[in-house]
Amino acid sequence: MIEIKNLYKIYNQGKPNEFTALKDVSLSVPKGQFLAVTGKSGAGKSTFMNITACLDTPTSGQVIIDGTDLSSAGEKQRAEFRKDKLGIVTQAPMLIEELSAIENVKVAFYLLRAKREQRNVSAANLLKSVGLGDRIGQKVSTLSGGEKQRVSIARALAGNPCVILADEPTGNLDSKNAKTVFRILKNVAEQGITVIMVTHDGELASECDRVVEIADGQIVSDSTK
Amino acid sequence: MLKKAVVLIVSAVMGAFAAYSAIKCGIAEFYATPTLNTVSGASTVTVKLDDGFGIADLEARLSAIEGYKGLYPLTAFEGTAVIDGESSSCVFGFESEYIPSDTPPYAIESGRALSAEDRVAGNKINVVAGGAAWDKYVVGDEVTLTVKSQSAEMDVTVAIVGKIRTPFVSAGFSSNIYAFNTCYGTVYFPKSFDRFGGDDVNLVKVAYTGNKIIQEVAAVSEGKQYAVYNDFNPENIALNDQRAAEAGKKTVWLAVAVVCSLVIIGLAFLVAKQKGAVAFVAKCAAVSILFILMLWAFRNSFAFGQLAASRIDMYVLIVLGAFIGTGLIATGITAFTQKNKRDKKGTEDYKDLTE
Repeated sequence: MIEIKNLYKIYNQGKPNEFTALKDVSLSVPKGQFLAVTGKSGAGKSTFMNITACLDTPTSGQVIIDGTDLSSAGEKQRAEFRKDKLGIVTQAPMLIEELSAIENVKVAFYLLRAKREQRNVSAANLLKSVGLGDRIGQKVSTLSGGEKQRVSIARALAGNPCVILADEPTGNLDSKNAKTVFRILKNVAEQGITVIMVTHDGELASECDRVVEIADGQIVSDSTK
Repeated sequence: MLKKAVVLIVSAVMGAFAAYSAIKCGIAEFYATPTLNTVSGASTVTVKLDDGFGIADLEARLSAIEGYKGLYPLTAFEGTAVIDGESSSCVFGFESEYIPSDTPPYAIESGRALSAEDRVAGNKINVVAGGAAWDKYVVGDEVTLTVKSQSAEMDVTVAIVGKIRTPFVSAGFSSNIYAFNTCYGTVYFPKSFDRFGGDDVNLVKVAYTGNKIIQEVAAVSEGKQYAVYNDFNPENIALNDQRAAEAGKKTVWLAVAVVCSLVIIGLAFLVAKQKGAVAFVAKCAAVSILFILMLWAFRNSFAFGQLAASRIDMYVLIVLGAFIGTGLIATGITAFTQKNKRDKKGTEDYKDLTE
């Protein structure tokens, strides 16, 4: 499903302040696996996630997702791929505060060129799926942090993606909301969608199918349940 | 997949039905109007057969009309035409002693239009020619035509004084221009201006066999010129048989073209997602071959050079209709598949992910 081969990412290459964020990272993630990526700050987790999410390009190496080699893909192709195949959940939900929960999800369907009726029904279904059936018309600014993150997950699922990339999705949440969000992501993985989650929370990581630890830009441990 | 297959089959059936209807309407219209032996742009009248009604009787009846000058015997030869010794099964219309009394408005490509000086001299006649079969001749050429009908045959020497651009629009012609649409194209014959003293007012032309009128003018209005169809001429019946054969061939070609276009759409649709070099090459080859066959079939289905001028518009319409129909079907299928693709986005009800 996801094949990462000999991935390198070097910032400021050839300059005095050259910094290697990823060194020869290779990883294979099968469909439907819930993978936790752990490591200290500055270990290279975010760089790894940004490249996997097609937000950044590697210095060398290959990233193949769902049969598509994205290493040499242009900006437009990566954007299309991101829209059609990937769902991204960030630590801060990055929602449009002035809009309601359902309107935020409908924005994703709008970008997917879905029909108006489909946008309404599907967005409502997704919000119900993440337990916000009674909050669909509520302004995002009035929702709690956990609820916002669940809206963010619903939005990420709009494109029926094959991979969900979650960067510290529970980082800003209390333990109760963190568990709720984690449970949702775990259920998403059980639906056959690959989930890669960056987390500092060792307890949550231990509940994932697989845990990969990155240190100094390299994979230092890889354990599967 | 089943859904898509159903859409394809329904589209194919609808397309075939639309093409069949268009062809049938076209053929019905084709037979409804005898055109080969008509005078282009001239007014016509309804006639009925009356075997006991002679020329003298008609002359007597029409002479009461003010301004009536006399009957003009219409001689029509229809049958096999031979150009430069090459015989053709097509029908050639010929009528002598006509010249236009005014300047013709048709588009002269080279040479000149016909004028009052273009009179028939024995079997020699000046003409303006148009049509694909006349492309090999230039202004100044003289062509010997053997015009045959069931009962007559004559050699005519045609001097080409002008060429017209083809295809053309027959509606642009004056009612005083006599155009004969043939399988070889179009020939404009001059009218004998001096035959009626230069006065065409209330000229009535009636077809006859021997001294027996075979068609009677049922209604004549003053101040108009009339031409009469030879609707019931046995030669025209033979002509219609020939038209039927030609139309049948064209129908088959048109059907082949329509089927090809539908198969191209279906093929493109079905293999659109096939990956791999073999599938790609097979798809390209199949579509290319079918496309060429489709174009060839469309070409054969209306064959401009062999059509009467008034039929060109009809065939263009039919072909245009087939293209538009095919386009609509393709659009429908595309829209359906795209909609289907989009519908998959998020429409599935996720189970409760919070449990």
